[in-house]
Order: sequence, then C-alpha cells, then structure tokens
Amino acid sequence: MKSPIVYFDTSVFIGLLDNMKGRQLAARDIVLYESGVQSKIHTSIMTVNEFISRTYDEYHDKSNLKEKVDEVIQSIRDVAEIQAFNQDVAKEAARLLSAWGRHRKLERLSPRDKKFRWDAIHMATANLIRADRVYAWDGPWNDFPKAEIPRIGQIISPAFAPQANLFSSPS
Amino acid sequence: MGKLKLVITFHGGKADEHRLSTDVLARVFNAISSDIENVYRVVSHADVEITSEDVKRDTKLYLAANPAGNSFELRFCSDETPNEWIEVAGKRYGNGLQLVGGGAQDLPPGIGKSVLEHARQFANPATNEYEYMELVVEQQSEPDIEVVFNEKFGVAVEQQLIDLKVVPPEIHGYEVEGILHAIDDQDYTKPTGSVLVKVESHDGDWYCEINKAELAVYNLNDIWKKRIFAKGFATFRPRKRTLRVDSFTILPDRPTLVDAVDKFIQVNKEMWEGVDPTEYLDSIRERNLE
Repeated sequence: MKSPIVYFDTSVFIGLLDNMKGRQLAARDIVLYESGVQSKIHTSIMTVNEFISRTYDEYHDKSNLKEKVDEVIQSIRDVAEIQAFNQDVAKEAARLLSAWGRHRKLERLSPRDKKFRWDAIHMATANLIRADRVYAWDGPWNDFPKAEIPRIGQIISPAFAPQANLFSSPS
Repeated sequence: MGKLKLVITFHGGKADEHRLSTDVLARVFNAISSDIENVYRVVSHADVEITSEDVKRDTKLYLAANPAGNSFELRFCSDETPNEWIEVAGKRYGNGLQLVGGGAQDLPPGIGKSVLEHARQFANPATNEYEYMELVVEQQSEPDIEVVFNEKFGVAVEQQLIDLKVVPPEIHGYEVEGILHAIDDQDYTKPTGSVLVKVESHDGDWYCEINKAELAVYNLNDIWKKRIFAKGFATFRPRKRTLRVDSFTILPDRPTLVDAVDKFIQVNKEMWEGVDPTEYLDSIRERNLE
C-alpha cells in the first residue's frame, strides 16, 4: 500500500515545542497517528528558514552557531523530507497569491497580504507533492478556496490527529 | 583484418539487383566512419596514450568484400590496432543504436545528435535505392550485434531527436534528497572526472554527477542505498533529470518518526524556553516582509 503523503506546515514543528498554548500533546498525537499509518512526512525549505531564525537569534554570538544551525536543520530533516523552493513552487505560489487576491476581492493585488506570501509557499508545495493530509495551526488554510488546491486531499487546521490515538500518553 | 568488423546489408529496391548508387554508398560510408570515430573518441578519452593521430588511424575503415547474396552486402573492417578501443567503439555504436531503436529513455554513451541524424537517414532512404538497411557488428567472443534501420527504427530515432530539441529548464542550487541506488563509472580507470549516481527521490529518479575526488573518501559499499542530500545545477530533461552536484552529504539512516520528533524537541527545546512560538513565528513573517 502506498504510504500517505503528509505535509507539516512550520506551525506543526512549532507546535511540537509549544508549551504556551498547549499544542505539544496534539502535535505528538499527530506524529503517533502518522507513524502508525507509515506516512511520509514532507515540509518546505521555508520551514527550515523560519525555524532557524530562532537559532540565529539565540546563537549569533556563540562559537558553535554553525554546528547548532546544522543540528537544527538535521533534526527537521529527520522528521520530514524537505521540499526545495524551485521554479515549480515559485510559479505555483505566485498563482495562489493571485487567486488569494481575487478571493479576498482586494482592489489591488499588490502589495500582497503580507503573511499570505509565506503561506502561499507552503500551500504551493503541499499542492505540488499531492499531499494526502496537511496539518497546520495558523494561516488561511481553511479560508483558501479549495478548488485552487485540488491536489491536497485534506487540510487539518487547527491540527489534530484524524482519530483518537489509543497509544497517546494521557495529559 | 582488424578487431572491428561491420557488415552492412541493403535490402529491397535496387539492392535486390546487387546495385546501389555510389552517392548513397558514399553517404553511408562517410556517416558510419564519422560515427565510429566520434564514439571512439568518447570511449577512449580516459586513455591518456591515445592521440588524435591514433583516433584517425584506428578508426579508418576499409571496404573488404564484394556485393553478394540476395541483397547488396558490404563488409567494413578496421586495421590492426595496438589497443582494443576500436572494438569497444564498434560494440558501443551497435549496442547504442539497438537501444535507441528499442525506444530507450536515455541516450546511450557515445550516441549523440549526429549519430541519430545519420541513423534517421539510414532508416529513411531519400530514394528507392533500398527499403531498409541492416548493420551487423561482428564480435569475436560475443554474439554479433544486429541493427535494422527500418521504418520502426526511424520513428524511434525521430522521437529521440525531438527530445533533444526541447530546451530543458535548468536551475542552480537545486537540492535532491533520496536513496542512492546505483553508481555508473564509465571511466573506472580514470581517477579524476565524475561518476553518475542514481538517486531515488520521493518524486522519481535523479541522475547526479559527482566528482570522483569527493566520493573517494567513502567506501562505495558503505553508502550504497544510503540517504543522500545533494545540491547543484539541475537540468529537467523530460525523461532524465540530472543534477551536476556541487556538494553532497551522506545522511544518517532515517530514525523512526517518533524518535526523530523526540530528537527534534531535545535539540530545539532550550532555544524556545519561555517563548510563545506562535507569536514568534508571526513576528518573523511580518518582520521579514517589511
């Protein structure tokens, strides 16, 4: 049986560390569920970019900055296959930006809704790899017209495991 | 008689009467000589002792026999040569054309545009001098290689030429991650140069060209079927995506997803202590776009 293709938005990785909004348990449940059905996890190179910003903030004056950045990237790469920002993604993200502008009936398509530029890259990547499931906690995933991203099977935002996982640890 | 023996047979048309016009013959002779010379150059380029004079001398072909049988058959042969390259070139030429005729996805080594254009001519005679042409590369210790330049062959060659005309998209700094499945070193005697590595990624195969010097630090048996992350210049050919690798890393075996997440949390936890990650993420997105 073909392994499900699953896309983690940056917010899922953030969720795994989130001790403020209590998302960690839900994120772990997702991991347990997807591990159980032998899914292949993917994310965008944008996740790496967004995530290691914190590493640079914290380690910019430390001698082990490079090693730490590499360690963080490897820790993401071990969880998910990283999809590059290539010409296909650039084109697809631009198309989605344009569609978002029309959907929101913006008078002008430029300047863009700033935050959506990032979401468009994640969304374009997930659409291009034909993700069976996309998990996210933020962004306009639920508001975006589904007809524009037909290759994505299911968007689960806010993120939670598709079914109760009997093996998850009690809170 | 030299190490390479080629038999060309024309069938049908005037060939049935054991005749063929000299211009058709000359065109075929010139084209095959030129093709063999080109393939010879490719296959022998790792041999530092081979000079341009050697190439010219070794690839010189001679007409060796008379027309005979129910067709027009000619025999070519090379001279005696001090090495095996002419034999290798003939074998590669014959095998390569066979693969092309069979609809091979990738162009075999040594078979380029000019060889394909010649093959198209052979398969599509402009006049009714012959209907189809047959080329046999005779081999001493292996079965002969037979190539039939007929209409079907012509269609396959035409498709290859169409593919060659398409200018594939290219991109610098492209990244490929996948499992290393095959290594093809065509010039194994040469310590420099590159090898072709097949990497199976989530969306299909990539053919990655890696400098031998960079691979030399690894035992090839140790990296076979390992996860590799390569970065370089990507060419998106319709049937063969290639990456000229600038840098690559052999990645450790992928841990289970649960173990990977535990490691991820362990590596990152301290950095995010006391920070609201969601607010932080939002601030990055706003900050970077202002």
